Amino acid sequence: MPAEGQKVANGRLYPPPTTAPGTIRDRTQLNPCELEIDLFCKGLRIDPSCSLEADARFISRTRAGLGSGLELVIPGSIKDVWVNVPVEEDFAQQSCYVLVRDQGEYWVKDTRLDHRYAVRIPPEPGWYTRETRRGTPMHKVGVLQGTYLGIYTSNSCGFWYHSPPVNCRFCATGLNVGVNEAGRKNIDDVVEVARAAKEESGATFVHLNSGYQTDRDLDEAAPYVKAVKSRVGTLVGLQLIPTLDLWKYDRLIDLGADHFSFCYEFHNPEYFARFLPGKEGLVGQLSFFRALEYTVKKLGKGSCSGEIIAGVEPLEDTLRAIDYITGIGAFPTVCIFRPTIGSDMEQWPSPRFEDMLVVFRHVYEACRRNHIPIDVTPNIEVSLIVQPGDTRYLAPKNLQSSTYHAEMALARWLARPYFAWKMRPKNITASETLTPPGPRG
Amino acid sequence: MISNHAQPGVAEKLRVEAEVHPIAGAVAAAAVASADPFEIESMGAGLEFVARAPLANGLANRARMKILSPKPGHTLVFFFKRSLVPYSRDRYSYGGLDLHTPSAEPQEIAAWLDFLTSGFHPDKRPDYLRRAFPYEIPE
Repeated sequence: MPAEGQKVANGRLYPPPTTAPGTIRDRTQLNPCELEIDLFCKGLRIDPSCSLEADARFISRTRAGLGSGLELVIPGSIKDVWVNVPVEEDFAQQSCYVLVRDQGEYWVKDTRLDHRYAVRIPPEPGWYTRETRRGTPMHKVGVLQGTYLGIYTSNSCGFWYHSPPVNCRFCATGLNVGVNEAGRKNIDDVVEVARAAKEESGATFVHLNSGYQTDRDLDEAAPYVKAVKSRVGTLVGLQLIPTLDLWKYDRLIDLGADHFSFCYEFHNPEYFARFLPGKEGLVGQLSFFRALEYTVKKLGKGSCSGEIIAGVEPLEDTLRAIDYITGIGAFPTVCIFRPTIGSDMEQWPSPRFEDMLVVFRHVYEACRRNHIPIDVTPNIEVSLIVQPGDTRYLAPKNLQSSTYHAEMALARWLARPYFAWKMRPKNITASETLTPPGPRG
Repeated sequence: MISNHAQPGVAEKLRVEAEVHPIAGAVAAAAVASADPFEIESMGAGLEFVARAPLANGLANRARMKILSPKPGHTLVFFFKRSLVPYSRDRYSYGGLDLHTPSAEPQEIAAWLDFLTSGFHPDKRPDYLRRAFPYEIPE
């Protein structure tokens, strides 16, 4: 596939990915989405020419561990692609990709072919080094993962505290809290950090997640939703272990929740059971499906997501998952498996680029076929995954693709006033204590 | 062996920490007696050991162990790796132990050093290792 022209955020046009002088450009050059996928699969080494301490965000393995990489932006003609590139894991030390700095610009160099790709390093937000009024370092409350603010609200994940532990085998959450981030987050700290991220970094979306909280997950999250919606005014997403008390989702929507994501990770029930012993034993795969279907019906097409990991279960199961998620009107959040440092699966191989390309071409086709809105919400770029919007670079050049892109552009334009309204602080009267519906429902 | 024993500050760090934390002194003695190479960090809180035996896959061993007492009656043994990125402040926890006794059995200490030498191979995890180790560990 020919590479699309690249563009940097200041509007300056770059030629297509350049090669170093004296080398041959050929068809193996990757477009921004392909490069994103390959970087997720192979990781990146950092050349001593780089001055990341001055130029980059600090690296912090918070939440499930996926954010342990280096944030990069790959400029492109369709959109700039954000990617959190693995740099700490063993496989990254053997990568063919090297980040180099040349005359003040950053490049990802492919040492196999001597190609190099222009990239941008997003700077560290000023608020990362500040403290909240309570004295908590702000970066220990939440971090930007792309352009959105991610906050792990709870004191780690209950799966890690079972005996024996029933943590998800790919996950590093239990290893982080206390070491890299504060434990249970104080609501005022969260509000302060969300406000700083909105005002200083232009964040439009706050994503709150937690580990297993013994079916109190939604109750624990409610005060944070209300506080952020009423005191800051951003879009708020929740990524929690699902409950079959579906009325709790109604209450969270009353409090202002805009999005729910459900990490069921593996579509194949055998893989679900084998790698997610806590979710299998204490929650069940069907709970994820039930909650996802319910919240999509409540919030509308493209509002919620099913999150899966590609590169562990058989490819056909991953494709089935994408068909299921898009078929019910949700959007697929597909993480390329990362054998995160310290996790039980640290010794597993990183997935093959060729397989992941199949997966993300399927993501594009499934979203198009089901008319799932992609990249409609303003300024939500998620660096931890290949976003459905990124897969536009993988689209076949035909009438269906052009029509879909035109529909999405129109939706983006029409939705502007709606999102502007959604991102104002709201006077929320609903109680942050979740109570079941009365006898009349 | 402790391969950087002759470096400035290391002997003094060892002496001071061994006086404060008897377990740290016992681990240092075991490291000295071991055939595997270790280094001691002369700076930072507690006593920090770095494994220097290369791994089977040819990569450098990044395993570290810090022994410290955040409050009387507790000794923390914290296993971690430092970031590969020079400027990163991140640490990668592999769990730890919270000991309530002033001493540890020689076979326990040997298991800790073995875990370190293996580069934190999952098969070498010490007994009673708490992988979720929610303590604020000073640098």
